[in-house]
Amino acid sequence: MATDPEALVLRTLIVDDEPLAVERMQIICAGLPSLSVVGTANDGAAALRLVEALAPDLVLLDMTMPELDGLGVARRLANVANPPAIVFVTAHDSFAVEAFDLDAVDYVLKPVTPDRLDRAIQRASARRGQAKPGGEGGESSRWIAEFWVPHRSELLRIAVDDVTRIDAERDYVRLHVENRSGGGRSYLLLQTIAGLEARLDPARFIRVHRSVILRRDRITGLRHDGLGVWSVELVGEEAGAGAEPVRIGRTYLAKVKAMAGR
Amino acid sequence: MDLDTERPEAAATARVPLRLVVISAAALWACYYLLTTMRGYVVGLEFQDELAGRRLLVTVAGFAVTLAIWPLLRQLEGRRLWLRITAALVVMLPAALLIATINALVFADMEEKVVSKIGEKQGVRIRRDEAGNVLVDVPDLPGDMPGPVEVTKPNGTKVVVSPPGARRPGGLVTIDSSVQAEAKWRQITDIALGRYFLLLAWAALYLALGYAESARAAERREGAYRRAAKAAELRSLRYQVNPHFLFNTLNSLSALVLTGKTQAAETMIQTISVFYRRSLAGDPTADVPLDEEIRLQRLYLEIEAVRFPERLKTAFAIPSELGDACVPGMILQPLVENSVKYAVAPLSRPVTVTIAAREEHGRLVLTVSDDGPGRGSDARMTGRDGNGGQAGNGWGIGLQNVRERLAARFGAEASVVSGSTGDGYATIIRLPLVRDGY
Repeated sequence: MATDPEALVLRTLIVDDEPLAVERMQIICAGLPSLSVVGTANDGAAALRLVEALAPDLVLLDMTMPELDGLGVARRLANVANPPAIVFVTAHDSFAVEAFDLDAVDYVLKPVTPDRLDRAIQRASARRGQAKPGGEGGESSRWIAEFWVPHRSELLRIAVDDVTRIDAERDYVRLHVENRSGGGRSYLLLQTIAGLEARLDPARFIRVHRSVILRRDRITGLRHDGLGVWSVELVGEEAGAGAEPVRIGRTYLAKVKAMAGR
Repeated sequence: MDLDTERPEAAATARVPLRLVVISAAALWACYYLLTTMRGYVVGLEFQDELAGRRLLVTVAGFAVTLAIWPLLRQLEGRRLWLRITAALVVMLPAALLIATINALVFADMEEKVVSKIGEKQGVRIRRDEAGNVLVDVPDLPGDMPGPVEVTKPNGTKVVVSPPGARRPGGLVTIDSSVQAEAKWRQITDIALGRYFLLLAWAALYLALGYAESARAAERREGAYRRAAKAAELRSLRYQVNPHFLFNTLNSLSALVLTGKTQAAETMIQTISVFYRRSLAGDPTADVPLDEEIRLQRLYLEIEAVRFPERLKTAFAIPSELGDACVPGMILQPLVENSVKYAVAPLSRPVTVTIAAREEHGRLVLTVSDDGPGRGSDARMTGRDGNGGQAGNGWGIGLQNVRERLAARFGAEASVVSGSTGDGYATIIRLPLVRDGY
């Protein structure tokens, strides 16, 4: 696995308000050689104190906690110099948009299996070897870099760069993802399209309709259908890949036209 | 539920019931009988008594023919209207002819009697020879008399008998049998036409009854559908048990197993089993005794107490005499769940969840309260849960669930009030007090 096993053992802090949940995590962690538990906390405030005192490499962080919850802790930790890697541990499989830009290494669902936790730890190890993507000290990007979507019994990480299109579907949004091999998939996420739009880099994404956000590089042209109705033409349309032109909503028309320099 | 008492096929195809078919046909023919009899008196036909008996026979025959046609018309039930009308027009034709023929047979001998009687009145002797020809002895007539003689037959049709060679004074008039046969057919056709319209009138009545019946069936179906929809709605409302509760509970259970606390794990498994079995069993729309509902909430709180051993305290104030009061099953669940979620979970200190019942002016008053942060947490009102997840199973949803279920069950008879109490949060439900088994 590695040449220097000592360096790869992550010093870990467990944070959960339920005593049994902490106990369970301790037992599972004891079976994993890649980390060592240096402390446990029962609420957000205690977690921040222990992070300061122990400077762990990794925090296994429960989302639902009294007073200061997991998201609050993560937000504070983002402003700390040399912050620990965060793995969220939760019984929920849907979050607010804010949860996406906390730069968590992983999201695991309760009750987590040792295998799944081990994978999360490996990601954390790998991440520590790299420079922090968001840059040092609090200057984290305003825009989301990744989504965590419920898929089967897990949460799956989707890089924002891989998302080509977002459709609103009632209380949900559907993320259309194109993987490297050119194949497509889609995932449902419990979010509002407006909330999502606010956290997406406008240089990369544009909302063209009340229920559609498109990645800008998917747009190949604008088409006037007459009577003031406009559509955007998409990549793959000529190739017959099923990419139908998308009608532009009236309120979004000016913005989309501006993109074309008109 | 009276859904079961309605036979499904009765709701599926609307048939005019046999009773109604018989009554409608009988009424129609009774009308016919009455009208023709009355007309007989008005016109002053002879032999009223003898005629009445025969007319009754003909009427009954007509009734029988009508009933015999009914199965044919029934074959086309549910088909297009024009098809059914055409079928009636076609089928009624031979039926009318049949009735007319029966009519002619029944009145055959009476006819002769009546004709000779009329003849006497006019001073004409009418007889029949061996070949069946009718011989009429006509006396000398003054002037240009007689004109055509109108003969009203006993069955009600009129036949104009114009004596051949009316101007010829006196002598014997012979009407041969071929002319008679022709006259007879004309007569049957005339009668048949009358009966035809009578039968068509019944067919129209039958169609109308059929449509009324299908309209009623549609109404019944709609009623059944509404009830089913309401039942389904109640069911789905009842089953909105928080999935997060399940996963958190499984996590606790896993912890107990991993730490070797097998007895505690076993106890929890049993508690969860009983809780789910009770909450999923039985008719979801049915009421349960308050005792049963409280037992269920105790189980729920016991399960949650394993997650929050130091922080969750419970209190119950249920007078024993209210134990048999009826409440909709699981009605307290969303409220207790909310107290755990928005009072126990967000506070580090112990929080007490209290369930109380009392009687107030013949109404049952149920209260679920806690000494948590009260209204302070906006999540209660907006339904956003603590970690930012959207309206998954928030306070708003839970409270709405209770409101909807009570409204579906009791209408305006039940009320739900909830809000901050100064040192916590309380929800008060008022509903009609109905005891189990009355």
